[in-house]
Amino acid sequence: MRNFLRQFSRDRVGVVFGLILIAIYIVAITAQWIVPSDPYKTQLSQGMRPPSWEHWFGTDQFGRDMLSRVILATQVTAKITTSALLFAVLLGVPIGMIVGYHGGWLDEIIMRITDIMLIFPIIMLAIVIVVIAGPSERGVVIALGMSQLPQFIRIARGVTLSVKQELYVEAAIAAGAGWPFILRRHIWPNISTPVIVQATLTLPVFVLNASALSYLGLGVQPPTPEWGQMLNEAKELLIAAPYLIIGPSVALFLFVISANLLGDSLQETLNPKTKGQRMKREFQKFSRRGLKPGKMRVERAARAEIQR
Amino acid sequence: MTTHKKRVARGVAYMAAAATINAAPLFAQDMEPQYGGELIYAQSGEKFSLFPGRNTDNGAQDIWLNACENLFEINEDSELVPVLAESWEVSDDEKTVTIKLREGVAFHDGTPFNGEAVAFVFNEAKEKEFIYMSLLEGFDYADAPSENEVAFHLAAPFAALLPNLAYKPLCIFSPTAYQEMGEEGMATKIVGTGPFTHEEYVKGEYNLFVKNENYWQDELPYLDSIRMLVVPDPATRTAMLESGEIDRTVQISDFDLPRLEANPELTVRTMASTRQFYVVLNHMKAPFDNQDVRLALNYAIDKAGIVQSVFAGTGATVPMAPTLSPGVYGYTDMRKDGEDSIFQYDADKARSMLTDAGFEDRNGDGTIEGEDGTELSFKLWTRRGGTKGDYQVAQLLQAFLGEIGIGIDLEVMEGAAFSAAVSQPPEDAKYEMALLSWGIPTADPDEPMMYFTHTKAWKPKGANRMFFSSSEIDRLADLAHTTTDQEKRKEYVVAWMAQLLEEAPVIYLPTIHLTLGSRSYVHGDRILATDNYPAVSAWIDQEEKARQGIKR
Amino acid sequence: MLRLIVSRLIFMVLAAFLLLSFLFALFHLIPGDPAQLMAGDNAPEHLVQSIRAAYGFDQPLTTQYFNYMGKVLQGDFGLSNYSRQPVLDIVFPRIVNTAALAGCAMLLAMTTSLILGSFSAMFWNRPLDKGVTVVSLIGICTPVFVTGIIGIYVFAVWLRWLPIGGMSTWKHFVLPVATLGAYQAAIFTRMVRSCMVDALSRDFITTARAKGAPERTVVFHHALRNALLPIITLFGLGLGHTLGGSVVTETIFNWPGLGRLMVDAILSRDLPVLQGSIFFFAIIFILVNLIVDILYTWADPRISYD
Repeated sequence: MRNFLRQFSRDRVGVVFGLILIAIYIVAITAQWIVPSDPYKTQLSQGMRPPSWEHWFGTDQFGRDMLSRVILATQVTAKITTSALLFAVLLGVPIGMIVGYHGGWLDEIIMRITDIMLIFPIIMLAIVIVVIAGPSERGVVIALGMSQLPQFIRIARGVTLSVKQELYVEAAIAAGAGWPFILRRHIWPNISTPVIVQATLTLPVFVLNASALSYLGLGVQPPTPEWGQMLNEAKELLIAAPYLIIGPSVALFLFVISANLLGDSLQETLNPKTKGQRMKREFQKFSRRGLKPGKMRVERAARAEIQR
Repeated sequence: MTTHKKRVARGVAYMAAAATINAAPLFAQDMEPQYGGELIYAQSGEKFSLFPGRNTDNGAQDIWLNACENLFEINEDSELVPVLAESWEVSDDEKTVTIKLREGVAFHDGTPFNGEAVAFVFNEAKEKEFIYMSLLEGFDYADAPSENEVAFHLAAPFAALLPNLAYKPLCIFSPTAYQEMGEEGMATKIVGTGPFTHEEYVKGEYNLFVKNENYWQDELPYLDSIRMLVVPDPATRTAMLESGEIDRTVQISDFDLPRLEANPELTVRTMASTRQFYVVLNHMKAPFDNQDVRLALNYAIDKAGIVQSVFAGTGATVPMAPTLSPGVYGYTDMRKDGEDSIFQYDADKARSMLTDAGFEDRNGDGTIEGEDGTELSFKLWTRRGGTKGDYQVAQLLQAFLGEIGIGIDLEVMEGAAFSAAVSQPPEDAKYEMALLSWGIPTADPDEPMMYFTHTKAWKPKGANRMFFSSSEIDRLADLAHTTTDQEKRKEYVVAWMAQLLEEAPVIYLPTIHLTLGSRSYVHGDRILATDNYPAVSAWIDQEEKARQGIKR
Repeated sequence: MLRLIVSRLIFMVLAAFLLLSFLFALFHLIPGDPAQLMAGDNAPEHLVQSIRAAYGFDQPLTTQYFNYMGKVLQGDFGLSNYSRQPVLDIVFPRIVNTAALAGCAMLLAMTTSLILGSFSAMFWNRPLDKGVTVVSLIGICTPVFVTGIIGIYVFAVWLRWLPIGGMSTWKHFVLPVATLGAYQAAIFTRMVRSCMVDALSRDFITTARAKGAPERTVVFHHALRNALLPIITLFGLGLGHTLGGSVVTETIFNWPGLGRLMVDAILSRDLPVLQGSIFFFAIIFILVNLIVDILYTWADPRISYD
């Protein structure tokens, strides 16, 4: 751990944006107490005021302070994306470990299903799932979580498959240890690092797609503020009050860029740099967005290309 | 039967006397109309059906009025003028109205327009229970005494028959086309006698109307075609108008008006209308069957605040009477002395009324509960961009009702789904609250009295989506419907409004002003108090259009 | 090679089959009477009855399932709840419009990223490279609806150079294509750069340089040709991604494409149209995927698939 921190602290970009991300999360957690005014309180006589010292991002049509709404939206977004990550990790990792350990027809079925899901871009999967789950915070959590489930299943399965062949695991099996014990004791410790890296890399994807869903009217519903939804409403007043797009855009951008850069740095620190690492990472990142069944194959192909 | 021409529709007389709420037409009268060109008109949402018998949506009316004409029309001066009719006679017992029809008119499919066709439309409407039938309460059957005459046989004298025939959904479509295509076919292709034929329907994109070369008015129309685009977002429509991508649009945000008005290349016309927002409360669901709750909801809404923040203070007026607006016969200011609107905003009063009715916050969660512990928490259905400001009004309602401890979830639906969902009979209606707006296209109180609040007008027949039923309100409406004494009738109307204030079947909201924005080279198009914007007599000044640099 | 194609085709059929099952399940996952859902909320009872009979909603689930499969395989997705047109007639023109948007955006993204990525690699770790890296990072972190709204404000509302809404002239293509293409270009540029940096660090490049080949030839001839294989795959994958991004882009710019049709169908509860648009989107993704795989194997026979 200390080793990791020492290495990580050398990466200045990572540290800076890591701190920004921490600050964003502090804002999210303390949103109720730090908002300058009640984000739900309408003041009809104070509608559509341009940015000023009193209202940094102006006020919306109903006189609600945009800064306060942006701050509360940070909490909403952090809550949704973190829940969706937990959903994907807590469901995907056990499934991946179990099918990886036992193999057989179940493994085959699950892998084929993930193959198929990986064909579709995350936003398409999320839209379809949100139709069934209903347009709400909960619906977005389920939609995002489900759409990234295959990634976590695959990672957990891959690690399980390779660790299972280690001598000490084989010895444990020979000694008659049950599979739950082996999964917990021997395989889980090896999974945590790649899962953490994958989770950090998934975070900005979730943020972007959660706000895209809300922009389309399929996500968070008013009066709960959400960046995508606020931008959608600002678009209706684009001519009369263009400043309304500033707050949500800036917040969204800051969250996504710090999560992205922190993810990059973490991965570089946790996975020691090898030849072709950079390439592989780009592909991984791309696959997160583009999603395709041949992800592993393409990576292998890309690596083959590099290592010849 | 008397043979002299007699003005049966008492509506006509007082309508001429009613205050003219139109601005004078702005187009230059001395300019010679030019032929040719395509008019591009952007409208808000998609319509679930273009068949007039199943849809009374105003936007849809604006589409089919290009192709389908009524027997009568109510013009800018709120006068009843004949269109496909020429004259009319009423029998002595006032139970038969015979209308002489214009000769030499043909439907777009080539079949003749005659007494038989008109009679077919109304008999079919009665048999298939077309959505507007409660407007024709008392109508028995129609027949064709001769080739160019149609006779309406009434079970009881019926004062508002003629103005009601001017309501756009009662347009005369081709019976032949109807029998061939059915209601479903007519939903995407309307066949009537109008100046334009419906050439193309592209779902979610546009409707194309092309000049009817055989139109019965020789000079008309001027335009070669009208293309009606679906553009849901008002800001997009406004920007498109400014850049000259489209020639005209409606339902513009009031915040954009000053900028549009300052642009010399645009013409912006605004007029007061009869279109009043209201919230349907489904009386089939508790606690909306409770009159005290409904009254409290009315007091909880800051009507002036809505006018200020959604309509920029200028695009709407607070309601001064339930349902009726200035310009409608019998309209009377029903506000109490010193109050700015009916049910003047008073959140404290609303709260205490709810407490008295047994609704209070028993578990301290901020939402109030009834005596049996059920929370006052509802879904409010709304459209977005159907009528200007609808989604914003819904958000404010959520805020105001939240203030008095009533939880509201918004359910936004696209136009077609919304219209369909709020057109269900009581057993199928799933909404608790829905935000709608209501206009009085005939400028006559008979329409709201018979079509809106009457027990006989429960959906799917009329527009009583509340499933509201009050014997007193029905009684007053029936009296006004059948009386021939104008003074008496006005008395009944006022009593009817007073009773509405007692019972509050809906939440009353502001009345909006209508706005039509067009490029300044468009002349001759009209804006009607009925929230219709016919472009059938419009023409384009090609020189001016070229000067503005618009090549299309 | 043939084995690969056959195995991918089997995979495709499997995917399509699962997809159809999912669409069938959609009737039963969304609460309500399926016949009523098919017919629309406002449908008269006789219509609901006829749909119930036609789709056999009163029969056992297994029978319904096979009937549904049969209908869909014949291209019958039913009628739109509202306009009562066949779903196929509504969907096909939309596919063309979406293809036009996504195709132009892809072209833009590919050219931009090849140029920027190559130059960035050529000037590795120099100001130009750093500039490109930062700009592409910003591009990746800005969602299309932010770029789109800013684009509308600047070019349509403020400067009034470009139209918005619809797709009637070439000018209508500029903003949507730029919005969608820029986002894609940002992603591509980073990866093209990586591929090129990698290729430039190879031994044969050093050899070429030692032989005195001009730098331009080294980069654009030797390195680019060697980096082309992963780049082609990348672009193939990117096509699917671009189609996904078109959903939001079409909504912003009122583009009459398949993505907006799908969103409209959700908001208007038009289940037949929703099913049709999901189906065709999915078929497109599956096809794109198949083509990428085949292209890749064809380009590099050393890659074999298990």
